[in-house]
Formats: sequence, structure tokens, C-alpha cells
Amino acid sequence: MEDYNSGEEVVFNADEASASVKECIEGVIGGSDYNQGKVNQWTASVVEHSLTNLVKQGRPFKYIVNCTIMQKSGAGLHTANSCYWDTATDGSCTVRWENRTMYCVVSVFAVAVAL
Amino acid sequence: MTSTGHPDDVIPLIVTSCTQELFGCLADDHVTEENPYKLLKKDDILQDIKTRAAVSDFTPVKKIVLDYPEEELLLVYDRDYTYGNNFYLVLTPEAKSRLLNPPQPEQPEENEVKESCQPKPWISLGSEQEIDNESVKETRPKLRYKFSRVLRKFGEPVCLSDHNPARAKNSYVECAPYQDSRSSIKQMERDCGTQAVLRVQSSTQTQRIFKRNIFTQYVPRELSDEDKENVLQSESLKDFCNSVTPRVLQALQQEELNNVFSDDCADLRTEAEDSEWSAKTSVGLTLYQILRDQKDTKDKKISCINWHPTIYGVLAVALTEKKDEQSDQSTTSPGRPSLIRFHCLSDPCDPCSDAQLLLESPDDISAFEFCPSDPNLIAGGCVNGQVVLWDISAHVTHLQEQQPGSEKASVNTGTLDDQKKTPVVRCCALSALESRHNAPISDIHWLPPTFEVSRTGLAVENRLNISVQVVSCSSDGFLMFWDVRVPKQSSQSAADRKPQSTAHGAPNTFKHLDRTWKPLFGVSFRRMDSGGEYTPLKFSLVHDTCGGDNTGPATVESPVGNGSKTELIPDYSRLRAPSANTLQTLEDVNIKLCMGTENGEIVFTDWKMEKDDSGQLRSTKPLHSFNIHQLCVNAVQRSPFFQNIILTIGGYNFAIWREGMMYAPIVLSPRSEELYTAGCWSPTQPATIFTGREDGSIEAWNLEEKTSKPSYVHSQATEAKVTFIKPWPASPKQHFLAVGDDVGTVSILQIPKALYRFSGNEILSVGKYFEREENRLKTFFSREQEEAADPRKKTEPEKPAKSNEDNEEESMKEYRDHLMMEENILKAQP
Repeated sequence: MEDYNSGEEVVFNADEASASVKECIEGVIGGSDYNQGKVNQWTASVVEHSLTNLVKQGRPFKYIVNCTIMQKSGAGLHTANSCYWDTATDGSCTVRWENRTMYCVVSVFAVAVAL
Repeated sequence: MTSTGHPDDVIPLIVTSCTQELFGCLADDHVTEENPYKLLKKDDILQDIKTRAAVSDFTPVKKIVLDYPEEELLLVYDRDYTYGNNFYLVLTPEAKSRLLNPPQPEQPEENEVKESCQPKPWISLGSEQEIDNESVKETRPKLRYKFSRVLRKFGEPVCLSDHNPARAKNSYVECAPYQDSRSSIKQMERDCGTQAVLRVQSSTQTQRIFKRNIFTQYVPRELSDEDKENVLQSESLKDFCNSVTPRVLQALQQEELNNVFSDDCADLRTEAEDSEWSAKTSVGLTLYQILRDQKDTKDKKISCINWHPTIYGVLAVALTEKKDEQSDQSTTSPGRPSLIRFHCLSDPCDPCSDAQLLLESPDDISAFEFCPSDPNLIAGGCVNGQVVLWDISAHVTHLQEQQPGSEKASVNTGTLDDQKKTPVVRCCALSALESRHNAPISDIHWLPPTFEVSRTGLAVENRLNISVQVVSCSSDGFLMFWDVRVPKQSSQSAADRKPQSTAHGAPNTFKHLDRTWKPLFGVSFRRMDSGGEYTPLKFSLVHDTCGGDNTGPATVESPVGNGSKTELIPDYSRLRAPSANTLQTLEDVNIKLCMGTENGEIVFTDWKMEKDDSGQLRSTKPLHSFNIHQLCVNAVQRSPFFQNIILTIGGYNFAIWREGMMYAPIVLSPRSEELYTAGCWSPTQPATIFTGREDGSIEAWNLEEKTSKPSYVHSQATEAKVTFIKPWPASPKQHFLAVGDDVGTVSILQIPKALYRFSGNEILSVGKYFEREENRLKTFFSREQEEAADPRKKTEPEKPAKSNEDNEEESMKEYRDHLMMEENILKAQP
């Protein structure tokens, strides 16, 4: 349990978050090819690790992490998201990663813990 | 005998017979195959070894015996020398006990089954992995954070707004689709649904053209069971059966031998005809000849055709100028005289379409008719409204000579200079110019010889039984009656006064009438619904060729020469009209006529005149009028077989009426795409109608077969619109149909046997058909009338509910009464 006391405003840093998420993805499915049996496990791991890393930063945010893994088969995938929040403090970022056989799209939403 | 391997706990041993006796294990005596075991005491064996030393059989096993822990050893008789010797010694007590007490197969204990099944331990088949995968487990302890803020920051208003994905750079992710050549994805599952449906081709749409769905279901009434029993048991029935049965049996037997009701001759004929007809050889109308005269018939259309009633193969054709509808001019172009042309049917191999005789008239003839009593007289109506008469008696021999097959006469008759020149007959009489119709005469008929008409319109007796009067109608709305006899009033001086006015060369038959001929009277018919008058185009009087003389329409009188009938036909020039008072009025004559008008109405009326308010004689209002055909009526004709059946053709359909039926036509043809422009009954088949269409085709309708479409269509019989059709039974084997068209051509078509074949049953069946249709209409209309009467009662606003109940009660009561009546009637029979 960590305590954080700060009087400053905290803003979500999207770049930092996307970098850490990218590392997580690399770590989980880095060199693998699409495997239908393991996909469930992969998505769970990616989400979990990303969330852990984000939380460990210790910022006063609520995090929502969403992961999609899609096999590369010629089909198209389009996702979009929209939010209604306090644009000053909250933010989101989306990371798109791909290798030879699959795409992986991870979205992170961070909502400030309003006190 | 090689010694096979023996188990370790036995040792084969030879036991000699004296040893066997000593130990009491004689082979096949003490020990047998079934019981090969012999227990030997260890001490005995040792003793034997000591006493007999080397001779003892047990010497080689001495050590084993000494070491044997138990008291008794087992010696087994090995009869088959399986181990090499005839006996073997079991070395170990375990083996001994095993051999002696072979383990019994365990009996299934019944107690175990009755116990409840123990829960078996769970065997993993892999499903727990899936569950593990899906379940959420915490892989690490939860992290906990605590945040705090400066107090003054609490409660600050927050401002929330949308986060627009379009503008933020990371919110929209796109993986574009592409053509993947190496796609090796096997679709594992696909959702699809199937449903089996019968292949349905028919539709259930009700055809509206003349096919009516009629559905009737009924259940026969039966006596109740006890009634049936009573009847069956009754004495009278039994007596009756007993008495009648032998006779019935005899009759049945006789009938098998000979059918007394069969008419062999009739059967023979119908069979032959049916078989011929069913062979269906050339059902079509075949073209026999075309009559066309190019120079004279240019721009003219055929207005009327008539076959000569007595001379075979002669027909008369009238042509009129085709003129525009708008122009009122009815002048003939100079140099083209108006003629009725007589043609003879010639050999089709050597056609001769020249006219054999020409009848001249002052203006184009739009209708004409041969006099039924004297075929040499012809009455015609002109386009300018005048009525014309001709007498061709001088040229009849000429016409007869021109018949096909007859030799051309070498001697020329009478007025002909050259045989090749066509004789021209001038008209003998013209009606007075001032008393003519104001519009072209559209139809003209001779009155039948059975009655004549007086000046006041009454039907009076016809003493001479010849047709002497002519009726003409035209689109000016008038129907005029003309008498061809010398009028009573005119004195001889009038006749003498104008002898020179008769045209040169014209016969003198009707000299008395020329230029002064006035009609007896004229009638116009007021419209029933609105003011004004009807404009009749065609009309039909009571039939004039049917009568007691004809034995049957199929028989044709042989063409007679001119001479044999002269004694019957009086000289028309000498006829004088008797005074109207001397003639007896005929009350029961049918003076109704049926008119077809320009607007497509069919009017049933009579021409009785009565005095109206102003003292003038005016015709009565017509009895009935129907507007069935929207356009001009082309033909109104009575059936040659039924007096009161009338065919009317006009517009896009035709209708069959029964005179006296006031509701509607009994048969109405379906509306066709083409205009009907001409039509007639077949003279030999009561149910056949020929119709001509605007595109030049001829249709033959058989009313008995079907009324929804023609049974035969001969398309393009003529090049232009058909304007007139006239059939003629020339001989029993040859029937012709003359078709006139819009460009002045007359086509003679030969009617196939199927369309002129006459059989006696047809009249009866067709008559019944018409009656059926009539009854159907009657019931339909009577029901309509009842319904029309009823709503007037029901529109009363007071006590509507009570009237319903009353009605129900009444109807129930009626029904009960009806049932009672039924029972009474049924039971009343003995």
C-alpha cells in the first residue's frame, strides 16, 4: 500500500502509458503466431500486466484496459471509442501492435479519482 | 519325449511300480487322471530312502524331502508325462496347497450389488483447464493506494465534456482489410438455417372472367333409424318385394340380350360424325375465293353482303365510300357510280372476280335485302337516306348461267349486246326526296310475310302472305315503314302522270312508286333515361325465315329455276294496298323489335303508336334499354333456331339476349382487346357465332363449349377491318362464309365441317343452356330486388335490436314449420 500526497493537478500521460502497454504486449505475445487455443490466455495476460504496470505508477486514476487480438486473415477491423469525462484531468490511449499473423489493439482509459 | 520345462516347484520323478505299491499310489489305480494327487508322509519317504538306498526312487530328491517343512508331500501322477516322468513331486508347500486347493473363482456376492453405488472419484477429461482459463484468478495480491487532497479542493464543480474520438489521435484504430492470398482459415462453424418448402406452382387467385366458384354441399335427408326399421319390417314391403322380384329379374336378363330403348340409326349417325370430327381434319376456315375489283372498289368499304336466296353461288355486295367521320358530305365522286355488284362463285382454280350484274343506284348503298317472297326484288337503303328498289327478274337467267360448272349460254338474252359486258340494272323505284331519312340508312329489312302493318302502326293480317313492306332505320333516329304496293289513295292518273320519269331501261315493276314513294309512317324512340331519341343502327324484327316450311336448317332447297315459282309470286306491279279498315288486326303478332344504337345501347321496344297529349301519334316509350356495348352496335340478329334469342355485337363484346328477359343479357362475352366489327349466327349450328374483328380476323364462338374465348380464331382473314359477315349453307357439303372488309374486298371462306355440322341434339341442348342462363339471371335479380327492398326496412332508426331478434325468432319459427312440413310430406307417402 502506497500513499500519495500531492497538491498538484495530475494529468494522464498518454505517451508513457502507451509505451508501457507496448512493452506488456511484447512480453506476452511477442514472438508467437496466432494460436486459437492460447488467445484467451493472451488477452487476459496482456490486460493484467498492463493494468498492473499502470497502477504501479501510483497516480490517482481509475483505469480501464481493453484488449483485442485479431487473426490476420484479410478481414478489416475498425474500433473507436468516445467518452464523457472531465477533459482536463482524464485521458485515454490506444495502442495498436501487429506481427505477421495477428493484430493486437489495447485501449487504456484513465479517469481521475475525483475527490 | 523331450522333457519340457517344468515349473520350479515341481520335480518330475520316476516312480517304479514296486514303489507305487509300497506307497499306495498305483498308477491308474490309486491315483488316476482325475485324482492324481497323493499325499505322502515325509517320514515314509525318508524311511524308504534309508531302506532301499540307491534303488529308491526318491533318492534324487532326498535333500528336498529333508528340507521340506511340512509333514506331507504331494506326489502328483503325471499321466501324460507332461513334465517328463510319470509322477512329479511338489517341492513347496505353497505349490502343494495351490494344487490341492485351486483358487475358486469368487462367487459374486449378492450383498455388494444391493448396496448403493459409491461415488466414484472424478476422472479429469480436460474440462477443468477450460474452466481455469475462463475463471479469473488473482495472480498477485491487490495493490492498495490511498490518495488525499487539500481540503479546499473538495466540492469544486467539475466540468464534464465529450471526448471526441475523431480528433484525438489514439481513439480510432483501423486495421484495413486486404486480400489475403495465403489464407488457410478453415471455417469451423457456420450458422445457417434451412427450411423445406413444397414447390408450389399453382395460384389460388380466382379468375374473374366468367368462371364462378360455386360450392354446394349437401347431406341427404334420411329417415331416422327406428323409421327405417319399421319400414323394413313392414309386411307390405315384404309382399311387394316377393311379388316383384321375379319379374325384375326376368327383365334384367332380357335387357342383357337386347336393349329395347336403343335407336340404332341415331347411334350410327352420331358415332360416325363424332369419329369424323374427332379426327380434326382442317378445323380452320379455308379461303375459297377473293373477290376484288381494283378499279371500282378503291377507297370503298363493304357495307353489306347478301347471298342470293335461291341461286347457288351468287352473292350481292354493296360498297360505300369511306369518308371521314367529321365530314358530312355524302356526295359520290363523279365517274364512280354507286353499285351493288353481283358476283358468282366460280371455280377456285379459274377465278373470275368480275361482277356479273350491277345494280345502279343514285347513291352508295349502305344496306340492302332480298325480298323473302320474291328473290328478284331487292330493297336497299342509300347513304343519302333514300330507299331504293330493284327488280332483277330480267337478268336472273344470266345469273344462273354464270354458275360454276354450268355451260355458258351461247345465246345472249335480252338486253345484252356483248356477253362480256356486265349488265347494269337501274333501280326501279326511289323514295321521295322529301320524305327520306336525314341520315344514311343503316339497316333495312323486309317485313315477314305473315303480317303487314297499317298506317297507324297496327299489325294487320297479310292476305297474300308475301312480304310487301320494308322497314328502314337510320341514325337520324327514325324507323320508317314503307309499302311497296300501289298506294290506295293514288289514282291511276298519278301513275300515268309520270310515265316518263322512270329511268330508261328500268323495269316497270315499281313504276307507281318512283319518286313519290312515301313511307307509311315513321317512328322515333324516346330515350328512357334522358331526353332525346335513340339513334338506331341495326334492328331486328320477328324472325322471318323460320316457319313451318323448313324441315331442318341442314336441308337446303335445291336451286330452282325461275319458272317453277312464278305461280306463287304475284306480280308486284299489280298489287294494291287494301284499305286499312278491311284488314283484320292481328293481336298476337309480336311487333317487338330489338334495336342497337350508335351509343351501344340495346333497346327493346315495339312500334305501337299512341296518341299523346297533342293528339299526334307518337311511339310509346321503349320497354327496356341496356347499355352493354360502349360503342356502335354492329349487328343485331335473331337466332335462326330460337325465335326470341337475339345476338347483339358491338364495341368490345357481344351479348345474347332473350326477348322478354328484362334484366340483363343471358350471355355476355368477355371484353376483348379488339373491336368487334361484324358478326352473325351460324345458320346450321345453334350455338355457333361468327364474329369479325377490327384487325381482320374472324372468330368462331361455340357457346356450348366455352364463353370465355372463341373456339376458333382465323386471324387475318382479311387485310383490313372486317365490316360484314354473311354465312351461307350452299350445299350439304359446302358452307361458305362471305367476309367483307374495309378496303372493298370480299373473301369467301369455306367453313369446315366442324363448324357447320348439324346434329339434332344441339337445338335441345342449346335451348336448355339458354334456359339455364336465364334462370340464373332471374334468381340473381330476384335476390337483388329482395335485398333492395329490405334495406328500406332496416334503415328505420327506432328499435333496431328488437327487429333483429324478431327476425331471428321468425326465421326459427319458419324453419321449424318447414321441418314439420317436410316430415309430414315424407311420412305421407304410403
